[in-house]
Parts: sequence; C-alpha cells; structure tokens
Amino acid sequence: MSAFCMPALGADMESGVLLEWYVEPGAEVHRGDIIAVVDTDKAEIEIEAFEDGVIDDLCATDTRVPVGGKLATITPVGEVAAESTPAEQRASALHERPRVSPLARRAAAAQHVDLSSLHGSGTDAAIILADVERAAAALGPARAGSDGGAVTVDRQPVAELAVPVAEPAVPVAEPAAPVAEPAVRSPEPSGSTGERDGMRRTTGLLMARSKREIPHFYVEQTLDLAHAMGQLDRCNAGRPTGERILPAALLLAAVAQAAREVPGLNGHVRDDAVELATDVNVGVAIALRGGGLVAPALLAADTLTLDETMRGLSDLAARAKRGVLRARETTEGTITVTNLGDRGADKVLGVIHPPQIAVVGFGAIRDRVVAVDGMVAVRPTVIATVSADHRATDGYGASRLLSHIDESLQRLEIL
Amino acid sequence: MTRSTTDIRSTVLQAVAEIAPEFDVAGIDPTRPLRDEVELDSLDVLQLLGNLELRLGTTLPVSARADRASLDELVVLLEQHGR
Repeated sequence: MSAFCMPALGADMESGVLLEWYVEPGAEVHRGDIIAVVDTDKAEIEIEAFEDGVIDDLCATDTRVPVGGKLATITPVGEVAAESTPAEQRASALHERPRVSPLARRAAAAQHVDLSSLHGSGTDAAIILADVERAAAALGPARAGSDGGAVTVDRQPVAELAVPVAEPAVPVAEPAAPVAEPAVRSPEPSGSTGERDGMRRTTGLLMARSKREIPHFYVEQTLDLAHAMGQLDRCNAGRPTGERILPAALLLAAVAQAAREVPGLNGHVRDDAVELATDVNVGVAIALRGGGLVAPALLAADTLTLDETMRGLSDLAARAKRGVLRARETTEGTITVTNLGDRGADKVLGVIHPPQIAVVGFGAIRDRVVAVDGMVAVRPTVIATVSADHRATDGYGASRLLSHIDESLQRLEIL
Repeated sequence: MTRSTTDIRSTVLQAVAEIAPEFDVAGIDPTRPLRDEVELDSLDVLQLLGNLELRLGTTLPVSARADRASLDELVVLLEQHGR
C-alpha cells in the first residue's frame, strides 16, 4: 500500500486544494487515469494516478493539502487480493463517506472547518450549512487567527462550469511572501480584483524567484520568415478560418525541433545540477483574461505535425483560459516559448520558468529591410531571443538554438 | 437561406460573449478593430471566426483580413460571403 500524495504542479506550488474526486473509495485505478481535480491557485488541474491499484482513504474535498501531503492510499491489485478487502466492507466505506451539501462544503473551506469531524443533521446524515456554522462558532476566535492567512474557496468544481470562464486564483498567503499578510482575509466576491491580484501575485512570486536564483543571459537574432510565411499562406488559402495555422504554431514547432537537435537547453536545473530532458515539452506562455500568466506545456511537441501543433496550441490556450489544465502539462515543461503576437513589441527577453533552462521569445512579425544575396529587400521578419541559465549553457549553446530555429523555418515544407 | 444583418450581428456578439464572458459586448465600439475592443489574442480571434463560419455556413477568405475587422466590417464580410 502506498500513499497518493499532492503532486507539485509547478515550481511555485506549495499546496493545493483538492476540489473533487472522480473516483469512489475502493475503485480500481490505473497509472495515468485522471482521478481528481486540484486547485493550485493558478488553475484547476486534473491529476493522474501514479500507479495501478485500488484507491481508498480519500481526503475530504475542499481541503488544502501541502505538496507531498497524503491525499489517498493506493493498494496494488496483488496486495488487495492478499488483504482480501471484502466487497461489503468497501461498499460500507463508500456509504460512510459523509454527504455534504455544496454550500456547506464552501463554508467549511472558507472557515477552516474539518468536515470529517462533523455529524450531519440533514437527510441521510448529510452535512448541511447549519452544521458547519455551528462548528465554526464553536471553534471561535482562537481558531481564526491560528494560521498565516485564511483561504477563501468560492468556486464551482470543474464539472459544474457551464461557461468557460477564466477563473482567477484563490488568494493564498505564502510563507515566503515579503509582505505581511493579514491574519484573516475576508471572503471576497467572485471575480473581484482581490482574486485577480492573487493570480498576479502567484505569477510574480515565481518570476521573482527566477530572477533571484537563475543567472540569466540573453542572445537574439532576426529571422527571415519570407519562406515560412509563404508556405503558411499557401496552406491556409483554401481552409476555413478555424482550421488555419497561425504563425505562433509555426514558431513553436521550430523551437521544438531545435530543442531536440541542440543539446543543453532542453531540461531543468535543480539544486545547481543540470538535468537534460529527452522529451521536448514546450511550455507556452498564455496571458489569461483578467490578468495572470500560465505556461502549460505542449507535450512531445517535437513529434507533432504542424496541424497537430496548431490544434494542440488552441486546445491548451482554451483550457488555460478556462482554468482546466492537466498535471503533466504544468509540471513537465522542458523549455518555454513566449510570443507577443502580431500586435506586440519588436522583441521580448523572457524570464525563465523555474526549473527550466531556457525561454525563447518572439516579438511581432514585421516587414523589415534586410540584406538578401547582396541586395536590399523588404521581408517579413521576427526577432527571436533566448534567455538561458548560465549554470546550464553559454552564449554558444543559446546561439546554436537560434540558428537551428532559423534552419527549421527555412526548410519548412507544408504539403 | 438568407439572414438579416441584425441576425448576423447578434450571432457575432453571442460568439464574442462566449470567448470573453466577462466582457460587456454592449460597450464595443463597432468602428474599431474587434480584437482591440475585446482584447482578443490571435488564438481567440481564430476561434471566434471559426465558430462564426460554422454557425453561418460560410468561409471568409484569408484576403478578407477578417481578423483585423471592426464589428461593423465583420458583419458586412459575413453577409457578403454568406450563402
């Protein structure tokens, strides 16, 4: 039997709120199955089982659990047979799981009431709002000031979201925060500036850590996109708008190819040790409506066709804006791309997403005067930059990455 | 089947509201580029136009530059290229 623990869903995550279980106690799960939803303060993320087995002892929903804290137990199937948990016993465990009304659940989370300690007074012993309020009153003011900052959980579980709304994060007091937090944060209405600020702050803390800990250096190169954009225009001409490929997908695919070809920039630095990755999972910086930034990864991006890259990018961006990402997408990025888009500035020097080694930045694609075969020409160009960790690589390595991105764009052939 | 300009306009506004639910579509200046008015990124614009083409049974050619259109211009484009 082993513990199923709260995964670290990003370098900046210290704890998460278990929002919803997709499985019942006693259910058989397989490695890779999506079994629960966790709120990381940046997004609601579906998490996977790490191994095969029978899941049990599920923690209560709306519970904040530190990274590494136990969420459930998973007993390998062989051991279950040996322990021979009778079906009736499992069934009764299922029955004993307390029924809790949604209102009660939210109130309990907001007021730090442990639902498992309550006895329900509703139908079938369900815990209702009155039970939580009674318990909160009994805990009294002593409890109110006992921790660093209260957490307000006032959002629907993923399954209930009818409309794709970019959900701002739950404000959380971080122990590392330089600014003192009030002991208790009063609950704020949904969508308030307070929640948006929480999101900005989470992003800000990660970026501050990156700039504090990672010795950044930068290289840049102007890339001639005449060939690649010509290919793209030809390919898009006969397609409905929804199936067209954006330049962003083209640049992302070129980075994925280059990251596979050039050693030293695809991977992570942990405790000053460089760990190069074999998979190429390209993180994509996505600005959320209402503020905040996430960088979920397009997994195995180097193996995708251009159409697959475009679909993957659209899907990732749509889910990031809805606040529904998968665990691997937030934890397994190996290099990141930030793209200002066609209305952006000329150039961006990105901040590295810890613990990754590098971030590639693209400014707006613009017509510029360039020298071509000894002649002056006007071509669509983009200024590409690499911000990289000097503990892992150097100017030579980062320059090579840019020249491989360039080559990948020059040899592009879309059928 | 033909649709009235009013129908197309309300279809566009509905599609915008789906992508930017927090945005008050009543406040859109119909003469300014829609993507600036609603702060849409290039992926949002692609999704918006793709949805509209599906709903209205039309395809806007790349040369129409619908991605840079204002609300008024987009309604005209969808009318012109509609069936």
